[in-house]
Amino acid sequence: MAGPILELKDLGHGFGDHPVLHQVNLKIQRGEIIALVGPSGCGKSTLLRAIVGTHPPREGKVLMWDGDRPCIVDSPGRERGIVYQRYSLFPHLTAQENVAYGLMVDETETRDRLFRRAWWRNLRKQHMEQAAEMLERMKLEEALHKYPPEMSGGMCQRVAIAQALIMKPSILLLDEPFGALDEATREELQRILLGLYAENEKAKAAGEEPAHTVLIVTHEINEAIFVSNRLVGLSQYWNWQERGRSSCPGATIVYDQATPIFSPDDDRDFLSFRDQKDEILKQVFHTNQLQDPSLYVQAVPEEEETSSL
Amino acid sequence: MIGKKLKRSTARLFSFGSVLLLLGLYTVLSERQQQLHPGDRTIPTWSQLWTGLEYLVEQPQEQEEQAELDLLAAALGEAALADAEKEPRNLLSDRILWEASCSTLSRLLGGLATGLVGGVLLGVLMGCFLKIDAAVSPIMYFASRIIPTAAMPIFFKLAGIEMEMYVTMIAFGSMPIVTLTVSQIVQEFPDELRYKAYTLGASHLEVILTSIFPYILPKVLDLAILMIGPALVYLIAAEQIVAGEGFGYRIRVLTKATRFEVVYPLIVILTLYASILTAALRLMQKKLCPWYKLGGR
Repeated sequence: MAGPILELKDLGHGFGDHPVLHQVNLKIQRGEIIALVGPSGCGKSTLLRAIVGTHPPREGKVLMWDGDRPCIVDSPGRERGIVYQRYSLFPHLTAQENVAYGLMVDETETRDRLFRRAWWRNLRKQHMEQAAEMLERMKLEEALHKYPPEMSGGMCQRVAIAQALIMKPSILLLDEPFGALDEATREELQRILLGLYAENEKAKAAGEEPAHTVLIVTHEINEAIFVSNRLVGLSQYWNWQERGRSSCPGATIVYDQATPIFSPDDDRDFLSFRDQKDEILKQVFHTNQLQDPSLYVQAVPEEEETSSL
Repeated sequence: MIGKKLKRSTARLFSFGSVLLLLGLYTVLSERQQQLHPGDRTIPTWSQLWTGLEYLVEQPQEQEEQAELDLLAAALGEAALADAEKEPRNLLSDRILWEASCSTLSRLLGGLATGLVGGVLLGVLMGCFLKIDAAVSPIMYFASRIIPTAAMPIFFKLAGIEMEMYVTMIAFGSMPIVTLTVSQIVQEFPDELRYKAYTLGASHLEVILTSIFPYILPKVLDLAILMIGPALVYLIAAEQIVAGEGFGYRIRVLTKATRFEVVYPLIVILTLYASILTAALRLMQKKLCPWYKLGGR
């Protein structure tokens, strides 16, 4: 049932003469929760923007699977939900309106809302009910009518996740979403992600397609290991000299391994994955450890023929 | 200590105190002027001001009309008086205040609305589509430096001396600044919110109408409040030159006739109108954009 949902093929990017990403290859399967970590300035956010479609890559392709058919991503689309660290919500809308926003713009057009008033009123009521349900699921029933400035950072991020999830995106992209939050709130939100993975497992067990695929960019390694089932390390510290390069051509993937699975109710015991954390630190973050990315790039299985795209 | 907060009661005490002090100083000054030059009306006493106010709101008596015409003859010359006698109601309406208010406010609101609507539309387009911004912003920047009162003869030539001229002049004076400011505000709209709207399924038009416009609306209303002052400057200057009715016209004629006990109330009433308009826009901002004052800027 689970198949690929997103693939990066030889993706390269840069700004002016400054290369940022080099031959990034990654295939994400439906139902995976993948954490992307890397040193500051390695291009994690640039990679995410390429996937969102706001900054298409200079080289290579981003492919999204719609059923069995891959298609190239070159602009933002509703199948890729995004939650940012800053400006995660529209300030002029309440929590409930923020969550209902996607339903409104996706299911209706301006002229319908203007000229089919009765129809729009009924539909709007349904959207608001759906939004309220989603917010209740995020334990935010008391914040329905609050504006973003009236909510804490953690509440805003939970609303932002609800806003993205209500659209049932093929993949949910999280760009350092918990970076500005206190530790207790971070843990609360990390458990929401574990809850999504648990829902996926339940669906798989029932022979259904897993509903949630998530790519989370974070600089916090413990968090990355705790919430994900797979961790990918992007780094500019790899052995580009051995490839005959005189300067670094950009960051690439130097680490791609499974991580231990936790359930939402498990204790958050960071010591239990200390060895993996040390390994990631050594391979991804240390400037004196020049890794061979081909080991990891080639670890991604070559499956469907997509070269015709 | 610098920036130390005041209690509301203390702040009010200081506000009332300063106003009372000002009124007290004026009273002393006007009484002194009366002692030095009895009957002088350049710094009228409170009773003279009251008479002036009555003159504005009540129908002038016949002899007062004649006195007014004499004053106008002295101020404007016989030729202007001859014109005035052909259409005396243009100069001496039954209720000066009502007539001046209708004329000035309709011109002000017409010009301000035209300038704001045009400026916001163009500014949003410039802010959203940077090719339009590149093409239009140099022209708008140049236009924003033109002083509308200096270009007044051109407006007379192009739009006559009726309502259209005032609307054109105020719109021309305010639109470039509104356009450039709105364009800047739109360009400051966070990229993340724009991208998010697209990922939620919004089209370009939806992004503008449902994300960008509500976001800039409170700032546009702030801008409208700021534009009231310059718009009034352009309008009163034009009315003083060419109008046959309105506050600018009345102030000019009555100043020449040294009827300051009427001029001062006119100025205060004009200021009150501007304050009421400001308060109305603030109320609109509060009702339409309740999130703005919460810190959602």
